[in-house]
Amino acid sequence: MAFLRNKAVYSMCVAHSLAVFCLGLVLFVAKWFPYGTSIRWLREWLYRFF
Amino acid sequence: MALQILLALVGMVCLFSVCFGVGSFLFARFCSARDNSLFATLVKTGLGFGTVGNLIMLMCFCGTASPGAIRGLLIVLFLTSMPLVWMERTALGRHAVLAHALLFARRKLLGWTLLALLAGYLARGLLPPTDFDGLMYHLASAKLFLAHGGFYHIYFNPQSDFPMLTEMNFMIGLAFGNDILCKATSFLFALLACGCIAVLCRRHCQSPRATVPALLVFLTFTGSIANISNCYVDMPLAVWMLLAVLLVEQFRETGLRRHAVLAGIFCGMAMQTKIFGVMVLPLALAQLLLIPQKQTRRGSWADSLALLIPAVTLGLPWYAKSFAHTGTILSIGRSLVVGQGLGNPFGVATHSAAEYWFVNTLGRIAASPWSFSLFARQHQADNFGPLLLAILPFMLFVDVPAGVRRILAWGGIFLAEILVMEMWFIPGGSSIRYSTFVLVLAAPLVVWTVSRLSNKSAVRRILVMMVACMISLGGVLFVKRYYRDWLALATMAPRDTYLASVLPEYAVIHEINSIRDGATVMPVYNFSNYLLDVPYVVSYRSYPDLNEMKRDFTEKNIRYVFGNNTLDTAENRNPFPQIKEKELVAAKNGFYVYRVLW
Repeated sequence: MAFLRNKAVYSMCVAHSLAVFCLGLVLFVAKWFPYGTSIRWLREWLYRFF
Repeated sequence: MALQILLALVGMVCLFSVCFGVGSFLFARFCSARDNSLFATLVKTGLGFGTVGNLIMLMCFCGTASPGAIRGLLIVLFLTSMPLVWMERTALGRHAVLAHALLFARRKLLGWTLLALLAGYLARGLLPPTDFDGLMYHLASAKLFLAHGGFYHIYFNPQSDFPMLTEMNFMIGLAFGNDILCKATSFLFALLACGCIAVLCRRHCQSPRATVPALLVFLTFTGSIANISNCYVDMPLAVWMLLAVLLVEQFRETGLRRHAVLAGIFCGMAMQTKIFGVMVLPLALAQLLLIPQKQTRRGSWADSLALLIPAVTLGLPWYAKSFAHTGTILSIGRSLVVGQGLGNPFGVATHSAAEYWFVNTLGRIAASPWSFSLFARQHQADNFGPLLLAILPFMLFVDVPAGVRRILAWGGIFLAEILVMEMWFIPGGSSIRYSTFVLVLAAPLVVWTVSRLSNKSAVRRILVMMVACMISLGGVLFVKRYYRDWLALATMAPRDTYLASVLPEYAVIHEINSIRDGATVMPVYNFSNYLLDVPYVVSYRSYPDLNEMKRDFTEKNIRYVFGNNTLDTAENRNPFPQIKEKELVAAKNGFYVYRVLW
């Protein structure tokens, strides 16, 4: 796996982690703390999209 | 309820002593009796739970599992195991000292947070059971078996033919008339899982300091929050599976075949706990035959047999029982775990067969890291959460020791098995709690990966923030979900008040339990079977005409129907609308009980 240890892959990992975490955070809040119209709307939209 | 809670606490300590003592006796037959490590303590306790559970299982098969007989067995085991526990007191004391050092040597805030979480789970474990599956069949089946003196075919509860080793342990609480002990026993299983994580951090990650953060991560996974201290079997399943593969690893290090036999016993216990426990066999065999390990001998086919024979011998009675009762080892093969092959599970032709095959196989495999980590699964809509997928890829950029690679391999093989199972049996997706084993493996890996990144790296700081954020959110969810339980415990609410505050159907169940005419009640779309103290037959079939229904109701003395209209569907609004001659006996919160006037 040494060939994967380069800056490009590292940057992709960082970007992927940030994206995954942000999405996970939104889905977590939308599922477990679904208060308010906007959160409910966001939850429905995300669940429909994915 | 205060006395019941106090007795459950005492019972929990006594049950641990019995299991630890019995397990110590058996452990000395397989390994060095002087092994006082945490791993040895976990194996001893596990062996004890397995032995006690199997003894009760044998009593159930022989039809002698009365409450008095089980109480007698436990008292005898308690008296005989006490000297062994006394001899091992220094080992237990050493674990307590080490735990104290881990909790409070550095970062005391983390230690106190962990203690608060464990106290919260223990408090949940000191209240009567209210979990869905527990009330539907884990405890309900055990209660019926106990009342019957042993196993019989509960034709109206298909899940009653699942493997039920953990339920045999729960039966102890029921035999002593204290179902709070069942939940306290579940908390003991969660403690064993925490011990396993400590072993992984120390042995495989070579980082004992990672234990406290890893436990915080594990205890705040949504899957853990939902399942710990419930009368479910996923936590013990994960523990037995992990102990099995750790023992195979020990066999690879020592070359002593009795370690392979011991691993086989834990594989058998996993198979006795849940049907998904069968998945431990490919995992253990892969560990035995394939996964490389330095300076050790690879297992032979004879070693594989040493592992397989005890595993299959232990698992066989449960699967034979299921086959004898239902004609399938899947127990509910024809209704829920549908053998639909690779066809469309929804019965709607949206894709051609070839397209569906590709989506269900290659598509499912390719999407699995994200579908397991982020997007709602079909059953219970839960997932692992974002930490695994956000942090584990950074393992590419650090030197990964052999121990950590093995944890990765176990998790990878298990997830591959889950995927194969989903493709063949559960096209709609399995529950994330079936993968509790992965959560136990993932928690130390997440912390280890972050700890290996350079101290000055901005990325490390971001990842630490992510971990802290998810632990905090998990903690908030934990409080949001269970504060009513803690309030009930703090105010010592009476049992009926607590159950009525958690279960909307309890008010009607209370009325049903006051029926004294000996008639049978039929719950329709109601699943809290365990709480019913009168004879009942869960709605188990449809009736082609009224005469057939009358014949069946008369034959089974069914004179009450317990309906549920909370979903307000056409089917539920009026259970059995063809029955015109009925009167309402009680109704509350959308639940009804009718007396049939035939």
